[in-house]
Amino acid sequence: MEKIPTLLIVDDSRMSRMLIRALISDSQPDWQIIEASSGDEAIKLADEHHPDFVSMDVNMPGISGLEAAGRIRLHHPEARIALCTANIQGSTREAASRAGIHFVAKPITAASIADAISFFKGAA
Amino acid sequence: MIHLNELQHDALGEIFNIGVGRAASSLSQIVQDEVLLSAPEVLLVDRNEAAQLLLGTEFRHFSTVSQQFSGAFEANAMLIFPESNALEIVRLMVGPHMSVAELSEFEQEAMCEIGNIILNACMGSLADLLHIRFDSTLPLHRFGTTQSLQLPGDGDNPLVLILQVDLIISQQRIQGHIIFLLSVSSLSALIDCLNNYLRAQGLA
Repeated sequence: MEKIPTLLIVDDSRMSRMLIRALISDSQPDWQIIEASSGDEAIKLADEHHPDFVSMDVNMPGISGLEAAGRIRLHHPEARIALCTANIQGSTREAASRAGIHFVAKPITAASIADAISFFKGAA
Repeated sequence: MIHLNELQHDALGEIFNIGVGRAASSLSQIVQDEVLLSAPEVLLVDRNEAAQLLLGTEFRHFSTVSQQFSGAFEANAMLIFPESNALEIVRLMVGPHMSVAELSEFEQEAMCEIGNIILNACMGSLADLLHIRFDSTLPLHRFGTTQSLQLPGDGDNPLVLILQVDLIISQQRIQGHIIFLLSVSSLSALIDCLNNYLRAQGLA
């Protein structure tokens, strides 16, 4: 039986998690979506659920999203991770690129989420 | 009594987060270094309490830039840096070759530019997402102490919206505060705009 694709949304903003969930559920109703509000919680959930895809914010209380993404990548190298962040500096984009992580700039819109979904599905 | 519910509070923090992210990108190009940001903290407090919060910081001397925004609602936006940090930002902007005296001379102009970038990025982000527009005055730079820090307002304007963000530039902890002062009527208008935005997103 085929595994249901699982997406882990990591963002300290509840509104952002709700927006990402709503936009992704619209086009990918069969995906299972789980949420974390911090990097530490994301690492824990990733170990429990082995997500296929991760949408990761950067500026959060506690460890940064980049650090959390690196740790998740270490234990789950098959997961496709997209940074979904307001931190649009070149240094953040470069750090994401070096780590093989896709970069999506906030604000969260239908277009930015479509871009993330293309990446998750291997088309970007 | 006006208050923000959990979703409005969260939405406001996230919208400003996007603005501060834009501002940090511009600032990092100016100082040619990475700007690390904390998650913004949104506080809606009494004006006297705001002064107490700022008095509670470890710094006593501030360099401030303020701008008045008017449109869908009115807000007095202030960027506040400890004075020693402000001079360091200016040094990063202009390079290491200027003397302290020269830096001080340039500080006012440089801080106005930084204030203009950061405050407009925050308000611009708010305007773009909420589909509203603002006009703004030119940035005004002042030095002050926690005792003399002017938080505009009167009996009819007791509430202060504080957005606090920590910036770390070039391995040096430069802590900046961004403060938005809104009257009760402006705060009501802001909440209406937020509610419209949340409804448009299907979140309220």
